[in-house]
Amino acid sequence: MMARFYLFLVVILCCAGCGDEEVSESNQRSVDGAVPVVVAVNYPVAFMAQRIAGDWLKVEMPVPADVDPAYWEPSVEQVVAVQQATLILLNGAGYASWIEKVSLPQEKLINTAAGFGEELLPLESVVTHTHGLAGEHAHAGYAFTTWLDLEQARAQATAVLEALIHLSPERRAELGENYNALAAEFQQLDQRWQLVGASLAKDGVVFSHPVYQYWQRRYQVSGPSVHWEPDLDPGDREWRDLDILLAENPIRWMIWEAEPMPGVRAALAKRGVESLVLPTVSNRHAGCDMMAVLLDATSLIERSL
Amino acid sequence: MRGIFYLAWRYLAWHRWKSLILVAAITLVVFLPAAIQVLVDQTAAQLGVRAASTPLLIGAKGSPLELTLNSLYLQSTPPASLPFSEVDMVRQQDLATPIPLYVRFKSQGAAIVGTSLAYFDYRGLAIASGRSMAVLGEAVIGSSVARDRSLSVGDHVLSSPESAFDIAGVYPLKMPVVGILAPSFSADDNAIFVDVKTAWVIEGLGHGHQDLAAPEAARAILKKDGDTIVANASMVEYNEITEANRDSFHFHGDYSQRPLTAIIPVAKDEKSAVILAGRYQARDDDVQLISPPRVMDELMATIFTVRQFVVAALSVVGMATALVVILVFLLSLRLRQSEMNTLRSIGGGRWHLATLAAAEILMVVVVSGALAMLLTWLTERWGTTVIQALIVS
Repeated sequence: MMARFYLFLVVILCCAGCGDEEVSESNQRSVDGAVPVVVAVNYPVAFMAQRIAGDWLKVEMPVPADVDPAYWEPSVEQVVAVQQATLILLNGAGYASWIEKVSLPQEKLINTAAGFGEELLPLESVVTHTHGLAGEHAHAGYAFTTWLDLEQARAQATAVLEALIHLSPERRAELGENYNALAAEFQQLDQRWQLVGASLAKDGVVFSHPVYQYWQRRYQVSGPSVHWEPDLDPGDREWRDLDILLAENPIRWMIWEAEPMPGVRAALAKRGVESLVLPTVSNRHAGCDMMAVLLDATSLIERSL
Repeated sequence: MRGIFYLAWRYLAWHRWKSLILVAAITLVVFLPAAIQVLVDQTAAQLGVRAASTPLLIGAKGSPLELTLNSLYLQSTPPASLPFSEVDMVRQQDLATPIPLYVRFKSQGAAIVGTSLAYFDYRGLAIASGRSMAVLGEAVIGSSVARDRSLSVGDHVLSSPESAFDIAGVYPLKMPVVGILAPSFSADDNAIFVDVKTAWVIEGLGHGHQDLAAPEAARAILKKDGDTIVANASMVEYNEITEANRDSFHFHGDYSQRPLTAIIPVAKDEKSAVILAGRYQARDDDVQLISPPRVMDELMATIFTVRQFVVAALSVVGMATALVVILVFLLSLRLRQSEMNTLRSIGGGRWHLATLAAAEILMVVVVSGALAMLLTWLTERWGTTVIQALIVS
């Protein structure tokens, strides 16, 4: 299981063609009621909200750009600020555990993953423990990078659309139009990922982190996961474990959340493993929106295959 | 005429015990029916206002009165619980905004109300100092709790164990006071408000403890079998949620199955309320939707019926008392025959003697009436709180 806290890895990708980023990090929201403020717990949901809504509301994600939103913990002041939002968009699947430890207005919470709750993947390899009267239990949950399955991402966008229509019924047509455009982009990328998945599955894949569960399921790319950080050398023990893994499994690709260190990339290449970068886009990227980041990464992967 | 009143006053003062008994008897006969009338009317009005502001209430099937008293007046034993999933069900119908309530625990007699932030807006409760709860474990207290316990923002309140003999039960939770409500002159003044999740922590459904996978928790591990760790009694469980240990707090079980004592559905409009009520009437499971105003009307109707019997009984007693008073005066006049003869001897006519007797009666009645009015006013001013406490308990 991943450590509870770790610094989020800033993806340094070629961002040519990226548009201006509109999702705000600010906690200073307008309270005069003129502009509705929607708070999202991670960037994918914030991106969907902004794309569907357009400019008539302000979408905020109060997580600093260098922190993984899944493990971010807000201060009391930040919680009080979030309480004032018009809507609070949750990713669902237990993403952002801070939600369980704060007081937020129930009526403002929208679980964007509620539509596919039955299909969530439970996390594997968690420590189960027993104490007191509670009996045996585990502090485990579900895999939460739900949006990497673009069909699920579309379902989350649908939940966002419904919440926004509820907020402003008179904008139904405009919102629907924006949603359709976004859904079409998801569908196009989904088709490209289907092909990428089919190609990767033939050669064998290892994942640098266990965060691709839904991507693996949707695009049928099975493979083990390790716990390697892109900006760190994994160390001798991890290299030995990888060698054992390679001896047992034919693996040609390692999928990273961000560009690995050149030395690590070279050492992998020596072992016959090529590195590919598929960002999870949990947090915003400087000057790039979610689709731009994913499209660029997909193009690079396609060229590599 | 002044002489007659002087003689009457001197007579009453001389026979002070007899006069006091007469005044007390007449005062009580007048006061008691009036006081009952005042108390019942005021209690009905106060309970009715709270009930009228909560037209619908959802709870587990059982006594509607118990559900109403627990949810609206934060008194009585907790009703059976219903699952949190009911909140989502109300929300999905898009007819009302559900406000969850979990009123089960107490802190030194004050009800701990587990709810959501919407409760404050719904009841029109304003924060007089501090702020609303923001993170798990924080409490906002009513004005009377703050005044009676001399609490201010930054102090702590402690949940009380449900039973002194439940030594294996949940630990009391120490909660920082982050806000104090302005007086609302309602049951909310005597309550402590926490997030419903904090109420679940009090119950033990959520808790925080050492990370058993961490090396420093080695002494707390009884057994380790693969991915399963069994902790021993030395494992540190936290009885206060602080910034340092908040991350370790977690909940067990399905979120949707966590308990509530009631849900206040704030309907969008009259039509939505009717539709919602209809849907709940059609359900045949363990959940009911009740109308607190109707429940309180039924309670008041019972009280009014009792009042009518009591007032009728008191009227009979009053008539008997009046007859006894008349008898006392007549006997008194007979016993005072020699005194009357003396008055006649010194020139007092029949009219003077009759006026003297009437003046004595008038003075007793006036004093009794004044006392009865004073007592009724006092009852009107302070008696309602007492009688309301009696009724709801």
